[in-house]
Amino acid sequence: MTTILENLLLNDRGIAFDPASGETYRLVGPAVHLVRLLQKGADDAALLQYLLEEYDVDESTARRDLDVFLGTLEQMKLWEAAP
Amino acid sequence: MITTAPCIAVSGLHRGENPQPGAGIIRSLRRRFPDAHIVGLSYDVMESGIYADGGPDEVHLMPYPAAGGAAHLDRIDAIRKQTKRTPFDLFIPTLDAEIEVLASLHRELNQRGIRVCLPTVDVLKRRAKQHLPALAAACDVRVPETRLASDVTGACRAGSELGYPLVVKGPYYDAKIVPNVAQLSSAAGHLLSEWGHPVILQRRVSGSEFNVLGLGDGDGGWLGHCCIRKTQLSDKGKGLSGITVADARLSKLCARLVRELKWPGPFEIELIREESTGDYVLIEINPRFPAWIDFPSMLGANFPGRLIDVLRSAASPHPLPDCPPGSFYIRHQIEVVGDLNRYADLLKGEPGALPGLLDEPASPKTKSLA
Repeated sequence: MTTILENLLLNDRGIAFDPASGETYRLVGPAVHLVRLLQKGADDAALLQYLLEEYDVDESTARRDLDVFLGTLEQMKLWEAAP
Repeated sequence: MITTAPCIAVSGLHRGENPQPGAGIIRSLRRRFPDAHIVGLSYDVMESGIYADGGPDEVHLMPYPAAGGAAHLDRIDAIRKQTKRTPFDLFIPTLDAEIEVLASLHRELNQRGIRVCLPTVDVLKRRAKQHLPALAAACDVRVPETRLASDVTGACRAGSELGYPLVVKGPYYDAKIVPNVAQLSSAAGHLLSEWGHPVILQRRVSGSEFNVLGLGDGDGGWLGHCCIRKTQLSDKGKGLSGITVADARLSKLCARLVRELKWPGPFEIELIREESTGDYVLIEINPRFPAWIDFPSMLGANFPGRLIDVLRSAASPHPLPDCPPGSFYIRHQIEVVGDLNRYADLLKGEPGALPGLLDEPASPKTKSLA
């Protein structure tokens, strides 16, 4: 299904804009790249792989941070996890 | 194609806490027609736009709309006779009460060679606050549950039916959110004495405010529109900032209203996107450009400029470009310097004598100076 996240306009400075609702969001750290990956259809494993490759973290920390991030997106109704 | 510099009258020049559209319209017109001669039609010598840089080239005081159509026409005739240049033949009125008067003067304005884009009295009435629910039903658009009242007792009865908090409005201006019957009674009394009846009571809708401005072609289509979400509101509910949006659902809804009314000329549609349902709920349709009209002009969609194109040309004008989503405006207020000589000239009715204003102050503020 189409989510708001797919339509977000994202600039390099971490500002995401929903053109339909007019809401703006500030993304920090790896969030910018994670949203870009989600917009390209990346799955959970690809997101985790990105964090492990780009940041000096162990897998359990990366997993926990990713879950928090995806949970926040769901809470803000920007994205839905695949059933 | 007409190539001479246009001479355009514009009203509603104040840019204070509750800004009027005229000053923004003039800025837009100057972008499109740098050599235009702008005639400001003002209802008060303290309208700030009179004194702004880049403001009107000449200013004349007008009688209040309550004086009626004949007084309005007499004053327009006097202004056009006394100007040292070619009299203005293009007019962009900007105030709801003024437009109500002018809408019944199509023939008289046309006879004078004044080109102005106005709805008929019937069309104007269909979008009035008290008739909005019927229009919305015809267009499959939601409106807040609404009641009308012609006195305070009726307003309080309607309030108990709707529940609190609710929004109470005058027929032309002013809206207030009231949390209980005591405040409703006071607000309704004030509105009835200020603006006459009816007062309009609406169930309050919670959500973000969206505004859509545009230019109807009179045949059911439009030459362009621009949608914003208000991102900051003043205490009076006026938009201090807004951001352009592109939502096909919102545009289609507004297109249905414009098609139903076959709206000619400038309009502003106010809606709230209900937080709980995501539905757009229609709040008002204003028969004029809004105060933020110069914002889309700065994005390349000059609505006042295109309106003048329409008024000057028999040919179908090109549609305006869409405003890209994600551009925002912030209202920026600055001080302007007034000149007491100009102030005095306006009070005396110069340029252009206005017998009714020659010997009496034009505003309560003037009284304190006397």
